Amino acid sequence: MSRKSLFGLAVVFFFLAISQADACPVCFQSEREESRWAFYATTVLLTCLPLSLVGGAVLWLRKRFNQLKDELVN
Amino acid sequence: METATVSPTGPTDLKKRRNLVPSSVLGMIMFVMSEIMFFGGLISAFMIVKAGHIMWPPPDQPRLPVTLTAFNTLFLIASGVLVYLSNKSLASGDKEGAKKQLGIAILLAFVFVGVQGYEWVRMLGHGLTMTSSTYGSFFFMIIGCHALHVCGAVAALIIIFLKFSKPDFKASSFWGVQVFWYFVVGVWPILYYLVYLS
Repeated sequence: MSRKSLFGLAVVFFFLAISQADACPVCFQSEREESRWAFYATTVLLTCLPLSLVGGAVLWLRKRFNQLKDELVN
Repeated sequence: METATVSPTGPTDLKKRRNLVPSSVLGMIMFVMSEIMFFGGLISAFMIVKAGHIMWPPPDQPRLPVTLTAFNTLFLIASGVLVYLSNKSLASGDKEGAKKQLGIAILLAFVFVGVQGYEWVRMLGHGLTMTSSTYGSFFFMIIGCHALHVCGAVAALIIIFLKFSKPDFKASSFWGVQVFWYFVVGVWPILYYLVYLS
């Protein structure tokens, strides 16, 4: 079997195998508007939290570096 | 022979070289960052499950002791302030005063843990357990994890307290423990608001 036919067969199997799955509480609890908003809010929280933590740490280290630099110069 | 090294401003004397941040503090900051993510995950799960309920706390579940915990929160915050003052006293050379302030901070932390334990026993008596409901499991999971962190931080504070008068005492170790204690104190009002008040 050629590579093209194998790829085509894989695509067909992929689409045939798909079915709906409720894999997490959010999927089957999100009938309520509040749940949907809670999901959005926590997605934003968990996305921004690590970025702000790392960003904050880098800024603090930079400030500390400049502080030490000034101390050494003076 | 004098050895030159590289500093933020370029080559200079070895004596002038200083750490940007002590290793204990940097290590603790990285650990605290992972802990923030851990509590962020717990809070997220709690918020989503809470939003899925029409009434929260569920009507058939016992109510949490809001007033008692509010006073307990004050003890924990006071303990955080005392650790800060202890560091200030240490920086100004007043080692005895710093030790005394740290001792009181540890006592206040013990009061916090004691009151939490008393609350837990009462809640268990009212039928709220880890397996009784989602409400119970979230309460014990979130507040329990925080209590575990408080216990760990208190143990570290006690070690620092015992080392205070010894010659091998390092201020940087104290700073590392402080970072953890400030985290434990700082995260509590958020948990108190989310779990007890909202």
